[in-house]
Amino acid sequence: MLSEPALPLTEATFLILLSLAPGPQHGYAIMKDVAALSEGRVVFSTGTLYGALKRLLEQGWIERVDSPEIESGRPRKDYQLTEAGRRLLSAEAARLETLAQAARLRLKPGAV
Amino acid sequence: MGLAHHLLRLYTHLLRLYPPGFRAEFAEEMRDVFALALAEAEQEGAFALVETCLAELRDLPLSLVREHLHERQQKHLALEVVMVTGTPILIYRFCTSTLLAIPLAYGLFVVVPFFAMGLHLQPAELVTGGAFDPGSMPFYITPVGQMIHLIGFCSVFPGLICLPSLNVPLVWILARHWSRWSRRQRWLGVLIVFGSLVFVWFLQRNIITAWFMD
Repeated sequence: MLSEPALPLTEATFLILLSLAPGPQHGYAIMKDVAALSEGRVVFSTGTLYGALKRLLEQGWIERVDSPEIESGRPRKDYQLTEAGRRLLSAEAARLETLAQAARLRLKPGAV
Repeated sequence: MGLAHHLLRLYTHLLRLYPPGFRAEFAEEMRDVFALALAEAEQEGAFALVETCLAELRDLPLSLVREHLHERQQKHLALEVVMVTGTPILIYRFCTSTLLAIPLAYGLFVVVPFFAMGLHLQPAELVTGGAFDPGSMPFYITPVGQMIHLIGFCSVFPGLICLPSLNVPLVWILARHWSRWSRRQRWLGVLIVFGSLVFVWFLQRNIITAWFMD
């Protein structure tokens, strides 16, 4: 497992990065995806979402790309994971996986 | 025009509350996203529309505070380093979180009167560094004179402590206008701040010598 100083990620950061893992998405799609991934538990307002996106852009974990689609007369802005962001997401997923395995082992009947 | 249109207009106005940097970067996108959210909610009915707006309003204050703090932190990081060296951080925080009028008012109505009173009542010490003798000035023998003398005596101490904070408004003005000023104006600003630092140091040194070293 990679050792990343930024770990563990906050749930909001993890969900945004996870939502961008399959490919670039625009703000509204991220909002919807995060709500779906968290089963409706995490619903971002636009202010919170763009505040988080700003932080992720500054940290270099995501980047902004112009989408071929036009919205309000200009190219729509999409967000995508950078290499650093993808590495970080993998590291966090591995960390959570390790924790989940440990929890499963300890919850098995007969485990001390 | 429907309710959604008016809500979108209201939201566009609310976006102006965000700090300029954040607004320039994200306001248009945020507006588009909110428009999409409203359009979807409108199809689900009035209740969904209200719910979308309430969710947005609920998060707005925290989001505003967070972005303003974030932008301010970035802008004032360099200034902070300078301020900590000469001025109490508490006063600086107070000044940067308010308008320019506050540090100026603080300087004019708190520091200057306190100090002026102390200086006015103790001219002999400041000039000669000698001990003060109330008997040599008949006015100070009277009860009123004694009272004013006491007030002056007490006010010099807070004045002395507050003195370095006179630099706060100057550094504040310099930092605020730095990007707008020409090279010459910047040099002049730096010279004035430096001059004020030397002046304050000179005043403090003389007062401490006059009051405590003899």
